[in-house]
Amino acid sequence: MESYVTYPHFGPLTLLFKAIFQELEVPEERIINPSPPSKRTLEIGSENSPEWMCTPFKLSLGSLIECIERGANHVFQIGGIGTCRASCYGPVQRVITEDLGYDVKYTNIDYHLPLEMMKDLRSVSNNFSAWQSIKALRKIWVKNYSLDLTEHLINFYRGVEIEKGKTDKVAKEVYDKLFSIRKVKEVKRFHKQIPGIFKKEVQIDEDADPLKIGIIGEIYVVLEPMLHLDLYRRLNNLGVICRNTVSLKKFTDLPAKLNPFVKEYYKIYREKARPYIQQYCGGDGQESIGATILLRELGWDGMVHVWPFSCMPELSAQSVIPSVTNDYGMPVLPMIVDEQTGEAGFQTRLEAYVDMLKIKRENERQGKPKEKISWETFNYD
Amino acid sequence: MVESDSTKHRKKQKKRVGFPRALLYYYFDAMWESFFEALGAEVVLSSPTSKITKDRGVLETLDDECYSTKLYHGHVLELIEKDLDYIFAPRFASRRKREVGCPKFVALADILKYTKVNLPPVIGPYYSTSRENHGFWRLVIIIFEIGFKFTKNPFRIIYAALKARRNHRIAIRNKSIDEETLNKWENSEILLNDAPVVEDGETPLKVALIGHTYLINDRFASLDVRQKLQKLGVDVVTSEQMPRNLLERQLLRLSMENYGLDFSEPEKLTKKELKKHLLGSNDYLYFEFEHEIVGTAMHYLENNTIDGILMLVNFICGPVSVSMEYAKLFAKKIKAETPMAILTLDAHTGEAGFQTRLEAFSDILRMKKSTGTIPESVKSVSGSIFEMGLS
Amino acid sequence: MTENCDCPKDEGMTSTETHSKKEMLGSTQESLAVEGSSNCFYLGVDVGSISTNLAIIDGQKNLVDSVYIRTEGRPIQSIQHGVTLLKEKVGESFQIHGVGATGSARQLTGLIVGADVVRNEITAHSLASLNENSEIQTIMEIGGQDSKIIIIRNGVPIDFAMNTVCAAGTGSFLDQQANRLEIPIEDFGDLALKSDNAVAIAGRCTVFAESDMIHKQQLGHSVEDIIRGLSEALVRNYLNNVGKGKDITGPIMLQGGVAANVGIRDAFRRSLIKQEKIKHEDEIIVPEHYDVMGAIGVAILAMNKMVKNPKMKTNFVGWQIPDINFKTKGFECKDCPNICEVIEVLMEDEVIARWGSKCGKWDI
Repeated sequence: MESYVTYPHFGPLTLLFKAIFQELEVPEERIINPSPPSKRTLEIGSENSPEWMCTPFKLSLGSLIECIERGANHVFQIGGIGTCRASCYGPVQRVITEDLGYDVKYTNIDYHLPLEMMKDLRSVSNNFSAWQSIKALRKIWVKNYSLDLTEHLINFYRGVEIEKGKTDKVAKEVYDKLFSIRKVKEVKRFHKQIPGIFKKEVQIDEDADPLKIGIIGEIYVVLEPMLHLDLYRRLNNLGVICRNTVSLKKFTDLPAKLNPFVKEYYKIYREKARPYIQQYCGGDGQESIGATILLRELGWDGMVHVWPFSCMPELSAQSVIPSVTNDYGMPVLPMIVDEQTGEAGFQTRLEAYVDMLKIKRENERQGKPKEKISWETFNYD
Repeated sequence: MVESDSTKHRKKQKKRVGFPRALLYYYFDAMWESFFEALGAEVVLSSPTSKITKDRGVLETLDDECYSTKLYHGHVLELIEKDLDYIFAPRFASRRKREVGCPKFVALADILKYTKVNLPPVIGPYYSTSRENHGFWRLVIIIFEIGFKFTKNPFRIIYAALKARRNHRIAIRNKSIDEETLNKWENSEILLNDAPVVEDGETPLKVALIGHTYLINDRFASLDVRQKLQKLGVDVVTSEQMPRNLLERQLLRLSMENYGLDFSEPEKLTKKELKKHLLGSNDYLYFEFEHEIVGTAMHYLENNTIDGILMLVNFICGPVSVSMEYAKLFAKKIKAETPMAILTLDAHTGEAGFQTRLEAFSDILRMKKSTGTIPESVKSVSGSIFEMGLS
Repeated sequence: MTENCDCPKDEGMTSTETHSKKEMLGSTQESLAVEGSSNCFYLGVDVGSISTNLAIIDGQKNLVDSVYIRTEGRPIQSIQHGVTLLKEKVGESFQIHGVGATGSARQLTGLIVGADVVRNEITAHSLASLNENSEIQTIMEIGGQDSKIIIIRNGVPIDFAMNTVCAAGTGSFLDQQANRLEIPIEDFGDLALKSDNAVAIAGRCTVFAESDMIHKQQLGHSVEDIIRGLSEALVRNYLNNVGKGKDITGPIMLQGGVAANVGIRDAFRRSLIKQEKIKHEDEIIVPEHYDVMGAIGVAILAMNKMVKNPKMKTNFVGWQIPDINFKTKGFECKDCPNICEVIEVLMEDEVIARWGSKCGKWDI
């Protein structure tokens, strides 16, 4: 039987997953790429999931079922031994799709073990040797850097752009360019150019005095627009610049993991969080707290904490966050999302939060002049 | 006024360590108690769950926490008033390479620290085999770190540790029953509990009561389900009583069949082979405390040796959402005959609704017992799985 | 409680005034400091899911007149009806110098009345409450479909929560139970006060409360006791859902339609004293115009904007609003599987706005 590979939709990183299979030389017609999730996706997913399962499970299941309907029969999903339910996704979804009557093979990837991950991916490649697959995957993690950078740039420029919609146009061009490059060297060269492209193309409002808001929470929700209800765009439209604090780099950044001199971003967060949550409690709970502290120290104005209903690690973080807010004076807006979250209430809360932060900032400034905005001061990587 | 008195008084007294009677306590009660007692500490347990515990816990915690966590906070609040030197809240993550507990256990100690006022110092050792590769030496460090808080004598600490280990093993052995006894029970030769109340000419129903130990053994939280079942003429075996190897066998089958690995006797595989197969598929139910739930359910769904299965779960419990799905889909797959009811509990569960559901389920079981099948009218609606929802 | 709170201190009053250009970002103190001339009048319109409130204030932020009517699911008609009532009260020649819109239907309202300011109801409520009493530390607002809590320190909102999912802590909870008991909701409060023994009603959610209430009725409890039990269930739900983890301290301002209910006020007093959040009954304040606070708040915001930009002219459509034919039309866009419900607003059969699509291609 010929295998048609597929994988769940995962926000902007979907492009990356697609590139993985392309690099492994899986024939183009054998890759079934998930389309951006719609309401229907979430509906199919929720219908077939356990009621209290976390929302990312439901959405990714919906996304997979849609792909399976389109002919896919080999699914790549998370598996292995985890801490929270995330690593159950593959195994449980296997049982569910089996029950629905689909004959699908699952390859569950344990993201904690980069080498195992490589082996699993190699199995679909065009008879790649280990070295060849490392070379192929190297392109992916290099592109991951650029992808993250572009995301941060979008969320910065869109908040202060003069011509509405310009940033999105530029971003699309950057993405297209990025995923058409095949050579690592060129990707690296292009990576350096990306901030320049935005600077040149997007005119920013020099008088703007945007709030700076960080987004913390569970990785899937933070990255998937369908689940966070386009939070970034909503914030940008309120004249706020924002950035997410989680990235897939946490798992895939092999060079940083091997290099003893590089401190991975998530480790910095975890260290900051240690007085509040001492040990890793699954998911991104610790990182959420660490990022709040770090961004406060960098002078940011506030945080939005998005997490799926019934998420265990974020719930632990949520219990401690009021103390962090108290100790550091960093307000955090909790936003629990699930398949029924209404947009009206979401928007009202965001608006009220932004109003509140503006008042707070005015008071803290005590009449001091505002900082001049630029990408260089905004970026803290 | 009493304070100065009690502090003077306390100097001579033993150091007092508090255990909340909730969550992990139900698994490790014997081990913890004997360890601290042998160290020369006075163990202070919170009183069994009551309405006061519940009300205080519910007020203290976020809405989305599970019922058992809410109760845990209620117990801690009670302990705070008890003038303690320490409170024991371990950061338990996992004790085997491929198994983990609930992720909430790891952060519990920290949450207590930041949400409770006047909290005594927390003893919260971190232990995680699956992530940090903790093993024997980590255990030694933990034992001595805790031990030196109570005594300066290292031999006493070692003695305490050994005693704790022995008592833990004895307790585990006493809790579970062997396969032989289980067989006898399944064949209705013996009863496992006090004789159930049955009408003349009726035989007791045999039901497997499945759920987390901390829920089933908490009389208040489980609304005294065992007593209620006994009055309805039901004899139960609980999931914690099930023989371990029987459960593990079921679990191996759960993930293996799908990868073309059908072993009739998976327990005969060597460790190396097992590891190879399991790692290769990355498909394993790694929640330690779910094993008994899924394993028991699968065992009885398949063997049809008892009258029914009753699953008692906490609303919004994360790991249970996974194991429940496994059990349900397994029943569907093999077209199980044994009726399985899933009862969901939370802080608002009312006694009356709960009783009604239990009665309804036992009626169905009796009907099935006398006629051989579930009545068609019931079956057409819900099959053999009864999700009775939040009561 | 305020000592350990790291919120900004209230010293920026004078310095913030230099930022007068940014009135959209204006701080509360600043907003409250602004005063217009006493013969200028400003209109605030608050359209929520249950009630539609209109309020006119003068330049000194005194309430001139107000209207409180039910929305009944038809926001356009209720705005028009409200404007008609207000017109009858103040007369057709009454000049309005600025209009603000708030509430869950603020977008639509803004279009219809031609608002100069469209703001969310949380900001509007906190502004109105601080205008009423600058000492307050907590604002509790119980509306029909949602309820809010706003924590204020040193005259600045520092934290808020809003309940939009569960009806258990909202006014519609009482409405439903009143229907069920066939007692007019207006009598609820007085009846509750007559009881001295509340019945414990499990109130996780309206459905459960209802079944429990029926159960209690069957057991033979008196109606008064049940009503008092219901009031306490609502307060408990509110404090457990919306108020959980919030640093509630007195003085507390209670507002929203439900605040009229003396039974609820009483239940709040008792339960907050029991939880040691407040020491004395007097710390719960119900403002005189508790039901139109949102409208007052947004009228103040409109006034601020107009006073700071003296050259600006209001967008107010005028008192002829009831005579204009507004219509909304909805359709499902089937261009992608999202199947967004797009809403069109028509004024005299001309499309003036469209919204609701995820991709934004229909938006005007």
